[in-house]
Formats: sequence, C-alpha cells, structure tokens
Amino acid sequence: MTITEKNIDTSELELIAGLRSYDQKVFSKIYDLYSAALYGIILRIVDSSAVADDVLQETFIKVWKNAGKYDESKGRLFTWMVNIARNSAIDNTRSKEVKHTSKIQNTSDDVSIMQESHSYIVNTDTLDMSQHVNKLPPEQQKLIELIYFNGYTQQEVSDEFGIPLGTVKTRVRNAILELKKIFKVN
Amino acid sequence: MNSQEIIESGLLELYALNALGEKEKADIEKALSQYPALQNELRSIELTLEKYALSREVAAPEHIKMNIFEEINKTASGKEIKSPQTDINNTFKPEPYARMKYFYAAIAVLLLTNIFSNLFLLDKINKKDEELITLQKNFEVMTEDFDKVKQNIAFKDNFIEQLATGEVVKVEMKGVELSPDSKTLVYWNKNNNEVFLKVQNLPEPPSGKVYQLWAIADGTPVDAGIFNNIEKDSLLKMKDIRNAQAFAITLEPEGGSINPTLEQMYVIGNI
Repeated sequence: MTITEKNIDTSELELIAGLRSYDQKVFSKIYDLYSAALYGIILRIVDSSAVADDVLQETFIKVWKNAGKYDESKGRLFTWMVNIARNSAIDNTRSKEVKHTSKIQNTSDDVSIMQESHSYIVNTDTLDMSQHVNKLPPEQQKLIELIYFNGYTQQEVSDEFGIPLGTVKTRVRNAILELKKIFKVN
Repeated sequence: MNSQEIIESGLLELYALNALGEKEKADIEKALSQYPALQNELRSIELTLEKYALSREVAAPEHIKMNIFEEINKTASGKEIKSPQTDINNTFKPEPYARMKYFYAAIAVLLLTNIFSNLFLLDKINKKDEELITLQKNFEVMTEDFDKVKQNIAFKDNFIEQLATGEVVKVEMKGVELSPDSKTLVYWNKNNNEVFLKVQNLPEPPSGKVYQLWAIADGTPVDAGIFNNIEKDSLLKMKDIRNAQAFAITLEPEGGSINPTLEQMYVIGNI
C-alpha cells in the first residue's frame, strides 16, 4: 500500500475520477459536500451575500471547467477548491484598497466580530464542531482566520502582527497542531 | 532541508493555506514529489483545515446549485469549453460569466420596464373601461330613443296610410270657457275603432289630476282613456271607440272617473 492510497480515502478518489470525467452526478455530490464550507469562507471575504452567491457559482463553474488542471499530488481536492473560491472572492471584492481596509477593520478586533457579522443559517450538524474550534486560543484562531478565510499571505501576516516570517510559520504550525487535536486528525 | 526539517518548519501548513510566495511554493511542490512522507503530512494538515472549514459551513441559497448546472450544461453543449485542459489563466477568464451578469441585468431592466409600463397600461385600460361603460350606457339610451323614433315613424306611416284611405275621421276639439286657448285633435278610425289624440295646446295638469278623453255616443259619455302627456304634437293612442258623435276632454282625479266632471271640461269637438 503506497502512502498516497493510504491518505486519500476512496471517496476522494472517486470524486476526483468523477470530476475528471465530467460526471454531473459526481459533481453534484461534490457540491453537496463542499458548497456550504466554501460559502462560509467566501462570506468572510466578500462584502455581501449577493456577491458571495455569485462567487460560489463562479467557483464551481471554474472547478468544472478546470477539472483537468487539478493535480492530486499537490493537495486534496477541497484545498484546490478553497484556493479557487478564495481567489474568486478576493477578485470580487470591490477593489484591492477596499479589500485591504475591510480586512484590517474586520480582524483588528476579536475574531468573534467576524463570526457575528454574518448571521446566516449555520448547519446544526456542525455546531458542535464550532464549539470545539472556540477552544483554540484566540491568537491562533485569529491567525488561521486571517490566512484561511481572508487570504492573507505569510508576508501580510508578518506585517500585520509585526512579527518575523519565521515566527509566522511556527505560530501557524502550532495552531494547526492544536486543530489536529481538536478534530482528532492523525 | 530534509523532509523532517520541512515538516517542522511550518512551510507545509502555509502551503496548504496557499499563503506561500511563488518561490517557496515551487520548492515545496518539488519536495512533495520527492518525499512521500511530506505528502502524508500535507494530507493530514489539509484534512484538519477541511474539518475546520466544514465546522464553519453556511448553507448556500438553493438556486445557486441549479444555476451552476444550467451553466455547465450550456457550456458543455456550446463552444465555450472546447478543451477543459487549456491553461488555467485562459479558462479562468471571467468574461462569459460577466457577460451573463449583464445579460441578466438587461433582462431585469426589461422586466421592470415591462412591469411599470403594464401598470401604466392597466391604469389606462381601467380608465378606458370606465369610458367604455359610459359610452355603452349612452349607446343604450340612444338605442332606446332610436327604437322609439322608429316606432313613432312606423306608427305615423300607418296613420298616414289610414288617413289616405279616408277611413279616419279628424275631429278638431276647441277650448271652452275654462280654457279657451286649449286645442286638441282626435283621429278616429271608423273601420278598426282606433282613436289617436294629438295635443296641440293643453295646460299642465295639477298634481293628482289627469286628463280624460270621452267619446259621446248618443248623449252618453264613454271613457276613451286617460293621459297626462301634454307635449305639443305628441300623438297618443287612446281606447278604441265604436260609436261617437263628439269627443271631449275633462280634468279628473288620478286614475280617471266613470263619469266626466263636466265643470272641468277643457275641450270639446263634434264630428
């Protein structure tokens, strides 16, 4: 058993194969699995839910059209989709300047502001998980939010917090190690 | 850096978060292809982030999925997606989608314009409806009038016909002391006993009173009908009379009388 086979579960392989062969049933399954997670990320980046709707649609159309570009050796399907969603969302913020300003405003205070700013329907199945996430120390949570949901680069985080690049790496690693424990990922 | 050093550096985490610069990203991708252990570690980081994202999920509006499938079915059968494996930068062009946006915006504008003009037209139609109803009523009144005129003409034609055959007797009735200016005519058809009264001049009857026409046959007054229409030149059909030497009109209480009130005689005329 190779390492790749061990770490990409069968359903992921099926999804990838289905997507590559433009199987609409599989694509529908991918949408059902991931659209809400992607929508949650998009909502944290764009200014309105109307824009988020457009971005989500755009994201899945890009996923469909670029299925052939996906390379599983570079990461999981969901990671690839998140990157597409995040880039589309950033492109759809009103302007780079507005994007930057809103980023700072949204994140300069506590992370809870961001959570509260979107009062959308939250999947009740995942509410428990949300509780777990709150166990993450606020500083680490903020770091992950900025990078994962707001698309900050390592350099931007370094500038924002006034910490060296090396420290950013360490803190991100520690934050994800914490998350691994919370979500019981080996 | 060996694989363990890379794992401990935090670079894989930033790679999974897409937060590395181009150079570092390329380095990691190269290392990933070399060290399977790195892939293993990366999967576990990605899975963690994936669970994190799933814990923050927000249900998207239902119509989006439908829109996406409409869109991919359109492009699948159309020309837009000839080679799905073309360069990512080319296929990521937002133009077709942006164009759709304009298209939908144009449709929305058209729909709104349509709605407003429909409301405007509806208002106009309602007004026109009212006008139409008024016109219709007027038309009905005119039709009634016209029918009356037609009947009158037919009646007069028939009347003239009768006059021409010499069967009709014309009786001129003149005012008496009570009302010297009064004047009426009776046309009596001896053949079919029909009696017509033509008012030329009669005073307005007081309220509660009517005029009554009498035919005097062998000295006895016979009721020939009541009337209160004193319009000049109106021709009134009265009761049939078989025998008469004279006609007279008296003023009587409403409903008429069995015997004439002679003190209230207005006109009289002998045949």
